[in-house]
Amino acid sequence: MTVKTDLLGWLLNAQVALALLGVIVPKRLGRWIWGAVLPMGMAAIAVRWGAVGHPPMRNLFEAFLWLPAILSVATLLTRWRDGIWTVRLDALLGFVVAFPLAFVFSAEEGRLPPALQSPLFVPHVLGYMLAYAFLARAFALECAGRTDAARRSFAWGFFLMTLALALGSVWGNEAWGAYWQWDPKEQWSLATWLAYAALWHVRGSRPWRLTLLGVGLLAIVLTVTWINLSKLFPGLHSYAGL
Amino acid sequence: MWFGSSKVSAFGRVGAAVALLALAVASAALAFPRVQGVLGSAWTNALLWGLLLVCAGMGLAALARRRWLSAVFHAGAAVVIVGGGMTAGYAKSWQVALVDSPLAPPEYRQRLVEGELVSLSKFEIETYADGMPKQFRTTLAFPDGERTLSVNKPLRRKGITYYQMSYSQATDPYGRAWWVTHLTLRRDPGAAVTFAGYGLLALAALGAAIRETAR
Repeated sequence: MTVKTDLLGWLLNAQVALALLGVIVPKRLGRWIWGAVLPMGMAAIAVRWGAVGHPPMRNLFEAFLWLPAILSVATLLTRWRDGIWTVRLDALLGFVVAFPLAFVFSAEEGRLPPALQSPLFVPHVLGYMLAYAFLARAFALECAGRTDAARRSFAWGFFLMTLALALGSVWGNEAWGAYWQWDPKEQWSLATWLAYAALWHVRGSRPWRLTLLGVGLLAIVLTVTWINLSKLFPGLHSYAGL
Repeated sequence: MWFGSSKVSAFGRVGAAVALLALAVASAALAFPRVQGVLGSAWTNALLWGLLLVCAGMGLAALARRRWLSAVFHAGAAVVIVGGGMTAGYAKSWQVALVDSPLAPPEYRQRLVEGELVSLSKFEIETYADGMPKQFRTTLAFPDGERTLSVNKPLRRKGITYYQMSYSQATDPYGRAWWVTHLTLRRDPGAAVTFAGYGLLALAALGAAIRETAR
């Protein structure tokens, strides 16, 4: 655990503090505090983009950089479509992603290796980050009893996950000469997608919804942490180092 | 009721359970040679055929009940499985290493691909300021002209795709070092089918997301 003390570091530290306050502080003030994460998150993305010279999506640190801003936009979308504020729930998720971003992951800069130089790089990674944010929210919303909002979050998350998985496969076919190679990350992504695909078939039952949204989230967490971070599963995606 | 007023039929639920189970076992068999050894390729094939039938059956059942998005989605899943089967059965790929030396004998610089003589014209490595490779590209000479390929930019010609995989160095008998470019050549009739299936899956999932938002 280290504290990052450059400009990017302080933008991240501020997001951790704002997300935490967003969970604690109630009502209107809490909304404004959580809302401040959006410009902070966008500034962090812009600073990193300028520093490395490519869209910041090369590793886990850069991919996570997008999540707090995405979550704060999702708060606004749910307010617009479902008429409810989900500040505490989204701020909690924001805190969970901002904390490792600020204090655990290394912000070491790197160049893009040839395999990552593709027009499919951005849609594949951004699609997955959006999908993960929407699907994590779907579980949290379902736990909180906000079934309508959970349903919409899930449906968009599932679409984005389908699209990102397909784009990744098409990209693999361009870069590696095969669209599916049973790489550990590919297998776990498929398992995750299947858990969510199963949910469409048992959608009338709340226990099943909770179970499958939970199983799916667990698979997401395993996919992005265990597979990426440990050396147990060396594979095609293992350049995404910590 | 969650997600639309029409319920998923019992057939749909049982089908989903069977399909997911079959896919899990078939995936394990395809991913881990040891599992395939226990299961045998006949059983793996049977599972994939079963999976295809279940997906197609669920698509038809959805069609009969006028659940269009579900029909398109299951059709997409079936098409992906067909494409995967075509790749498993008919795709062919082979590795080619060519030495970028004017002194190397012809067999080190050229190959016969589908009756055509293909030879290496040029291999280039572009680096970042710190020396890390930024891109590397191979120029090949075909009977009707030269074409270049690089990582993420494969070359497609007469049903065969040429991929730039990696490079290495080789030393000739006089002690001089030369670059060797490593290519993969592949013919895969299943890829286009699988991608069409992806298109159907994504289209149906987008339709479902819009439907859920509008409700």
